[in-house]
Amino acid sequence: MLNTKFATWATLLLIGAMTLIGTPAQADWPEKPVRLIVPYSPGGGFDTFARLFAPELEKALGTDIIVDNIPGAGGRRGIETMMKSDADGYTIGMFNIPGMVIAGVTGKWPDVDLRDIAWVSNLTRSPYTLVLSASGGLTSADDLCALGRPAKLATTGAGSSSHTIAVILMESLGCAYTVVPGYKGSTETTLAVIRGEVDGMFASVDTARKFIESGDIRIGLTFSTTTLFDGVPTTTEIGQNRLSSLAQLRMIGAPPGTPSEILAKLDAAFQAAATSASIAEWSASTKRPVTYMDADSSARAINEQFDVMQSFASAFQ
Amino acid sequence: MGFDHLLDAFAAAASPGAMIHICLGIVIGFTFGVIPGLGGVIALALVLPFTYVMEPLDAIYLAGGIMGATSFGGSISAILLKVPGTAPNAATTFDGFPMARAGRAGEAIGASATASTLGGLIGLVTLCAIIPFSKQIILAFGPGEQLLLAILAFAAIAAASGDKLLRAFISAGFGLLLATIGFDVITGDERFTFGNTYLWDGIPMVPALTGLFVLAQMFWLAGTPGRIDRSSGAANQRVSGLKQGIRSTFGHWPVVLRGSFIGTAIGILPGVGGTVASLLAYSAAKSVSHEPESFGTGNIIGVIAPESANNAKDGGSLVPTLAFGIPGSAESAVFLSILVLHGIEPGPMMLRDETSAIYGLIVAVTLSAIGASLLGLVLSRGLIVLTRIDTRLIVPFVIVLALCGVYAIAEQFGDVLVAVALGVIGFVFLTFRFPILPMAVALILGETAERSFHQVRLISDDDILGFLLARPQSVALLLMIAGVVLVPAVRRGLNTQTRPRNDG
Repeated sequence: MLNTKFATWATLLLIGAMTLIGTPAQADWPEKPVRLIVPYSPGGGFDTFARLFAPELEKALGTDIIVDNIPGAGGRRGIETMMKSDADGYTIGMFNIPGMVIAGVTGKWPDVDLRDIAWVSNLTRSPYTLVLSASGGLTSADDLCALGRPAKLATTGAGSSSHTIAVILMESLGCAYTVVPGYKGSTETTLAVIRGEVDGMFASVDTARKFIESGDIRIGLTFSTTTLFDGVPTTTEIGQNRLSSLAQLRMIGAPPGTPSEILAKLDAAFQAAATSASIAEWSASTKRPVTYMDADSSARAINEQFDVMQSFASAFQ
Repeated sequence: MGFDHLLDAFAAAASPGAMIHICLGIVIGFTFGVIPGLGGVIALALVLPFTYVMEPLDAIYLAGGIMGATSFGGSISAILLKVPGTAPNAATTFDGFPMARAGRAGEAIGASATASTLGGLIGLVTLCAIIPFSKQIILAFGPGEQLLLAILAFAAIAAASGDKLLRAFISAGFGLLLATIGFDVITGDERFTFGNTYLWDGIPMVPALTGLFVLAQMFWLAGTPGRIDRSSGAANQRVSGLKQGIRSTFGHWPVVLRGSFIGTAIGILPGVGGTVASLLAYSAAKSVSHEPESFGTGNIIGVIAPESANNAKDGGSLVPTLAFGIPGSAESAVFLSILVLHGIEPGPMMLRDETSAIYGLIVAVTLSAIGASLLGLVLSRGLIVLTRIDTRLIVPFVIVLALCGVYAIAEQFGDVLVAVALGVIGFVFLTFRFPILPMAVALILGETAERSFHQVRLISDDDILGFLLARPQSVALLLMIAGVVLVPAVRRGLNTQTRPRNDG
C-alpha cells in the first residue's frame, strides 16, 4: 500500500520535474524550422503574402520558414491539416476571414470552430465596399433598392464572402435582390459590373482600388465607421453600424493549446516582419496595404464577424 | 503604338543576362513539355520560389521562356508516342502518331516546329496590334458568349468525330457527368462528393487529363509490344523528313493562318484553354479539307493546324491579363503571381505603368517560340530513336514520370488515384474504340457551360434566347455553331450527289 502510494507521489513529482525541465525547452523555441500552412495554391494572394513574409520572419525568429501550400475544399483542407499538427508552434496556418467564418456559421464546416484557434496576429485588413459601374446611373445602396425590380448582384458563388456580404447588406436594408453566382474571382465580378449585366457587387477595398484608379467603377458604400473615399457613405452613416466590422482579413493562427510564450514569440516576429522596410516598400509599390493586428485584436475581429454573420445565418440558405 | 515598346523590349533583352534567363526558360519549358504529365504550370510553380531572388525582368524572361517552349515540347511526345506532352497537344496525336508509325516522324516534327514558331509569332503580332483595344474585347465577352463558346466546342467534337458521332456523344456525356462532381457554386450544394473533402473541388483537371491522355495510352501501348515505327525501312537509322516537314508547313500557310487565328481568339477568352483551341483548329482544318477522310491517317495538316493554334493561344491569353489582370490560362495565373511577388500589381493599370514588364514577357515568349523549335529540331534525331525501341521499355518510364508529375502538383495522393482511375477508364474507351477527346473537352468545359447557363438565365430574367440574339457577338458565335454543325453535313450531301454511283 505504502509502496504504491509512494510510487504515485514519485511519479507525480517526476512529471512535475519534467514539466519544469520542459519550460526551458519553450524558452529555446524555435529549435527547428516553422511550417506556415497556406491553404491555397501557389500563386494566389495568400501564397504571395506568405512567401513575402517568410524571409523577414526568418530574420526575426532565427529559423527557417517553410511555406507549405495545402489547397483544397476552399481552404478547409489546409486548416484541418494544421489542426491535426502538434500544438508546439512549429506548425501555423494562414486563415481567410470571413470566408472561413461563413463556412462555420452555415454549418458546412462542422469539424473546425474558428473560435478555438490560438490566434497569432493579423496581416491585412481590407473593408468591404459596394462596387457600382462608373458609367451606369447608380451611385449608392439606396439606388440599388429603388430600381423597381430586384437588384442583380454578381458573386463568386454560394458560401463565398462576396455572396454573404451581398445577402447581409440587402437583408439589412430590406431590399429585393437577385444573386448571380458563379463568377471566377473578384476581377470577374468587377467585369460583370462594368459590362452592366449586373447592378453591383461587393469586394474588398484592396481588390476594388485598381479599378477605381482606372476609372471603370465607383464605390457606393464602404463597410467602415470612418469615411474611406470622399463623398462615399459608410455603413455607420447609413445606420448599419454593426456591419462596419465586415472586412477581409488574412490571419495567422496556431493549433488550439499552443503555449502562450510561443504564440507571443510568433506574434513579435510577425509584427517585426509587417513593419520591416522591405515589406513596406513592396506594399507601397503594389498598393497592397499591410495591416498588422496583435493576437487579442485579431480574436476580437473574428468574434465580431462571427456574431454579425450568425444573425443572418438563416438568410444564407 | 505597341510596336515602339516592343522594339525597346527587344533591345533590353539583347543582353547576356537576359539571354541566359530566356534560354534557361526554354530548356526547362521544353523538357517539361516533352515529359508527359508535366507541363508549363508545374514548371512555373516549381521555379516560382527561385524567382524571388531574381531581378523582376529576369524572372519575367525566365517565365516567358518556359511559357513559350512547353507547347512545342509537348507535340514531340504527341507525335512519337501518341501521348500529348501537355493536354493541348492532344489533337496533334490524331495525325502525328500515324505519321510516326509510317516512319514519317521527322516530317511531323519539322512541321510541328515550324507551325509552332509561326503560330507563336502570328499570335504575338496579333496581340501587339490589339493591345489598344484589349479592354473592349474582354468586355464584349460575357457569360452568354462563354456559354456559346462551350457549345461551339461541343459542336466541334461532333464535327471532328465523323462517323463515330454517337460514340463521341457518349464519351462527351460521360465527361459532363464527371464535371458535375464537387461543390456547386450556383446552389452551394455538394454533388457526388460522398462527404469527401478531396472531391469538394471537383475532378482536378491536370491529373484527369494525364490519366486520360497519358496513362490510357501507355496501358494500350503495353498491350501492343514492338516498335512504334512500323515502316519497312527498319534498318534506316537516319532521321529524314525534317526539311520536308518545314517546307510543307510553309506550303500550307492558309492552315497556319486559320489555326493561329483560332488559337489567338480562344486564348483571349479566360478559362477555355489550349486543348479546346487546338481541337477547334483541327476540326476546322478537317471540315474545309477536300479529303476529310485522310485525317487521322497521317495527314500533315492535322499536325500543322493544332500546333499553330496551340502556340498562338499564348499571345491571345495575354490579352485578358493586360486588360484587367485576369489570367487567360493556368500558366499566366502563375506568371501573375510572379509579378506580384516582384511588386508589380496586375490589373487595369498595368498597361500604363508596367510596359517594360509586359513587353519583356512578349519578347521572351517570342524568342522562346523560335528557340524551342530550334532546340527541338536539333534534338529530334535523338528523340526519334524512341520510335525504334521496344515500347515495353518506354511504358514503365512514362507511367512513373507521369504519376510523379501528378503527385508533385499538390502532393495529394488523391490526384494520383484520379489519374489512375481515368487512365483505366480511358483504356476501356480506347479498347472499345470510343474517342477520348470528347470526354476531356466535356470535363474541361462542363463546369463553364453549366455556370454560364445559369448566369445568363439570371441576368436575362429567363429570356435566354432573346438576350443572346440582341448581342452581335453572340449572334456571330451562334452562326459559327451552325456552320460547324452544317458544313460537314452539306459537304457529305454534295459529295454523294456528285460522286459516281458505281464505286460501291
